[in-house]
Amino acid sequence: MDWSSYGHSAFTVFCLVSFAVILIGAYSKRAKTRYDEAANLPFLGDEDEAAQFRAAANGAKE
Amino acid sequence: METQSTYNYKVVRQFAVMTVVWGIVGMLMGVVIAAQLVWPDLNLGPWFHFGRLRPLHTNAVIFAFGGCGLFATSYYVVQRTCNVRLISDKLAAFTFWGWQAVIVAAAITLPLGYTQSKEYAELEWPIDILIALVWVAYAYVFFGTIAKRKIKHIYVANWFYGAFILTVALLHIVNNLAVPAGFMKSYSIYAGAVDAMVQWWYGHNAVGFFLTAAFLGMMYYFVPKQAGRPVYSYRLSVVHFWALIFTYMWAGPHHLHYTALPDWTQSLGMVFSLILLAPSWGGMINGIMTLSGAWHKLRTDPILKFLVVSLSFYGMSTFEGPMMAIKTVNALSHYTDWTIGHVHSGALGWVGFITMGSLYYLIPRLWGREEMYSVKLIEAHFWLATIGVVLYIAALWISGVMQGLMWRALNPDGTLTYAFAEVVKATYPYHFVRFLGGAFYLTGMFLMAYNTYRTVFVGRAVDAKIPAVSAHAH
Repeated sequence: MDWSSYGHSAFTVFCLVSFAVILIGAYSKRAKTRYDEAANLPFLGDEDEAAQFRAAANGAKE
Repeated sequence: METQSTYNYKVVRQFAVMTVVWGIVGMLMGVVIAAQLVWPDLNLGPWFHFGRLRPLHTNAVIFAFGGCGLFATSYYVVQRTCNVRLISDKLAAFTFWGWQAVIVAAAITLPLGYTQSKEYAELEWPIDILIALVWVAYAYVFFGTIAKRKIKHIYVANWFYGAFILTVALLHIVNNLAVPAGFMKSYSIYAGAVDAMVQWWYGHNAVGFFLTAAFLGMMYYFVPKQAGRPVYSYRLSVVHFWALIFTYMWAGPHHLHYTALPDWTQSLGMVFSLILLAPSWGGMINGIMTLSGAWHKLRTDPILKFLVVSLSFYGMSTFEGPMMAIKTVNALSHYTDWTIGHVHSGALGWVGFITMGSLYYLIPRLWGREEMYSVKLIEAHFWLATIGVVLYIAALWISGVMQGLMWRALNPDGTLTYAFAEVVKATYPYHFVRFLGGAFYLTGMFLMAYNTYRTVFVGRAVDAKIPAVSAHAH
């Protein structure tokens, strides 16, 4: 075993540990409320948009 | 005043329209070269020969159609999920005009025969420099907009788009390092097996980051929007992101099985390709399960059909890909039509469908309407495209496996059973079906262009107002 082999092993272990940390972090209780809010980000401003469409549709009728 | 309170939809509109235009051009090129394989007399002169039109087709569909679709949706998604206008309208406009200039330059130089002869990186060095400049501007606009966001959390779609932008910059610059030997001539700084390795590190990550990660960004925004419910599991999306971007980086050597590449590198590429099944299917399941409880919408909503079927094709091709990366399977499939069938199940089925579905959602909203001019035409487009993909990939599966088996067939005395020309002859009927499938797919795209034209014609370009952020979002 030379130093570069240790490097290869260390990198593999580092990647595995990182993956475990991401997994634990993502599935922790702390993340839950934060993620619930984040998951709704695409719907931000939907009401405003709907109102604009309604206004545009009304304008077209007049 | 006006520009401070609205989103920049102008650049999104420009890219969205050009996505449709370049889609037709690129897919038409595909149908033309498919026809050339069936009727070789269609190879007219040097400029319109298969060898020169094929890179034009791949560049047009990947970088022009796919690229414009990604610019359009990423600019739209980053603004709406960060609750802020793009950081620079001028630079955003530069990315639009610069990218169009790249595409036009490609459409001129490739038929003329200027090429670096690296697959998916054919364009010569002056165009490569322009691509790099546009890309740096794109990165500045995208990440600059994220930096000035009004929402604390960065939505997962932006992570995928961000990974795509960073990685493509790295891939493009490293793979295109070359010594110019004239205005449109250069030599790669790599040689031999190293050149091949760098090329397919680039090539497979172009698939992984340009054609997958970025379109997953599209998926994570437009599937929840069209389904009207948040993504099935945000936790899974986070794990999906990190697992996918880590694993894709190492899969490139599966393009070089049984070549001069060191054997251990090939095995490494194969193993990482097999591992890729897990994050790929994690993402697919996350997208499809977003519809749980809303399945009935599939009956009436052709946009949702596009999005869900795209995920089905994504699942199919990300199962097929790892399987083909296994060295013993690759011994049969490599250099045959099976590979081209596989690519198109991903490109037509996944990338094409997710882009079309997203654009059908996006285009009316950019022109102040809730729906496209005709929902029936979307439905017709969906079925034409689906029939097209199925014909295309089924034909090339049969043709590819047949080629592989015929090439390896041996007589008892060890000589080849079939001459190469006999195999070519046997593929003709399947190549005709492939041409037919492509024609169906292209016809659908014409319907989309007409529908887009009518929607734009009756609509009015609007830049949506930036809504006031509610307290919980901070």
